[in-house]
Amino acid sequence: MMKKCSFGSFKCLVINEYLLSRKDISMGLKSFIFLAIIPIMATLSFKYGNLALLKDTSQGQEMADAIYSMCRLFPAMGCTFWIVITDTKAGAKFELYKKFRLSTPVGWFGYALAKSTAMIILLIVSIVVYMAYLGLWCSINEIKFDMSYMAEFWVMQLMMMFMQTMIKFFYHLTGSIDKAGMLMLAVVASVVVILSLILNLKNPGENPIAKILGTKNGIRGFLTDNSNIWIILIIGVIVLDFVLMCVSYKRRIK
Amino acid sequence: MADDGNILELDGVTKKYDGFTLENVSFSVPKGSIMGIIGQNGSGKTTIINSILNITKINDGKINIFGKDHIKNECDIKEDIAVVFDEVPFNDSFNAKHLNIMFGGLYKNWNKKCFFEYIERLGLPVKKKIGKFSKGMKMKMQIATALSHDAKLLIMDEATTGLDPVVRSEILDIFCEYLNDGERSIFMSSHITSDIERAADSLTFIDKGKILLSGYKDDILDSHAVIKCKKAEFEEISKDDYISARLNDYGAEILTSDKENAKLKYSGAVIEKTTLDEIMLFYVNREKKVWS
Repeated sequence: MMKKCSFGSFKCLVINEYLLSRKDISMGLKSFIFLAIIPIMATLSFKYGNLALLKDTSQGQEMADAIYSMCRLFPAMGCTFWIVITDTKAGAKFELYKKFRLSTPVGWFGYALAKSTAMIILLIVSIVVYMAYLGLWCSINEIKFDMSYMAEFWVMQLMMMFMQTMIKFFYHLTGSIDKAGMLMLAVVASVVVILSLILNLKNPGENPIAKILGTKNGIRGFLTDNSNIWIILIIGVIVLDFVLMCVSYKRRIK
Repeated sequence: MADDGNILELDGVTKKYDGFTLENVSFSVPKGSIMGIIGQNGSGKTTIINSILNITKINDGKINIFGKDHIKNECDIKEDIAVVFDEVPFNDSFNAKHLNIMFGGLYKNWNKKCFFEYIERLGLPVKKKIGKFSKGMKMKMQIATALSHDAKLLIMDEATTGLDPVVRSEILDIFCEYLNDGERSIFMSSHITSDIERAADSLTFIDKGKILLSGYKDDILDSHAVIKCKKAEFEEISKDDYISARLNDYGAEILTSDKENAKLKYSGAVIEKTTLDEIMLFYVNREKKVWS
């Protein structure tokens, strides 16, 4: 059921996606601001405030490293507000909306395309927002902006996107959004455990928090070195997500 | 079945579920008329509506809407169909303005002016969130959206259930207006037989997935009657002459589907007009034949 959609009506469908998620988008933006302010304040304090007193100590060096990682990782975690453009809301209302959607003349392709477009636009907005943040962070640190600083951001986007796509995949398999969420969490928990074990074997004895924050030989190096791969993977997951959305939208109620 | 005057035609529609089968359903809805579908909970009314809208896939049979196959021409057909569900499917945080944007993207013929005229006429607030509406207001909002894209067929799934008589009457009046041009039809399912009795031209009665009655409402009401008699007289009535009989302390009430025949055969008995409620009740108990 593919239907040609005029630009005007397609635009309305995309706007509809934002209307449906506007509360979540604003929550996402607020949490990003919160997660960006904390490390920025820590950086300012380390440069000009009380923490500057620790600069020349060994403890201070470790702290500087942690703040450095925090400054990039925390806002990257918060900068994932595109995630709200999903169909992964549980409950009777979700089923009713599905029924309503199937009763309208817009076909599965139109709905999937509108949702993906809304998601991509929001992803671009989050890239711009994160880059603006990085610009501010670089100017505070008096360093030149480098695209490699975006590594944590790409990985966070990829992780969140992959989690959402997994939910859609499991939803397709099980037909239940609750079961899909549980299965996704099980997969994520397994991956985290496996990654921790690998890192432990790689750098035995290193502080686990330092590992998570990515000091020296930890995750940070791995992330930064593979920026291009993350971008390619993100594009891949977007395509996969779109395909799953099409399959899901084509599906009728049993 | 392939009558040009029909807006909706179902021919041998079958849908199988685990423990329930909608079996060989056939009926048609003529242009410019209201068809009501009645039946108990779980009798298959919503399955029929879901099948018409291709929300659920049928196992067998054929559905034509506006003379076109309901699957092959799904998108085109749905441009001209409006659906009102028993519950509002819209996001609770939406208001009339948001719905206007949303429906503008869904229907080519969406008429913003007409929508806001209905909003005003139905006394609905423009900026208030739907989540804060009463049940009646929510239903009115759904009807305003349904009537604002020049649909030729309005499908309602238990849309008047849970509404007070004033709102129901208001809504039924709007529907009558909607049918004025003679080109549009309404297909409505309802538990409330009085609504069907008041508004519908024809009706279909479904029970356990099977159609028991389908035809013009007046014909059905005219052909059916309740025979009231004493218990002793009841024994004389042939089982073939009635659908089912209710016995009580004072005698028996018997539903017949052939009033004229009953008048001739049982001239001594009291034969009264019946209602859709009674027809439904006696048909549902048809397997017991005699019940109390």
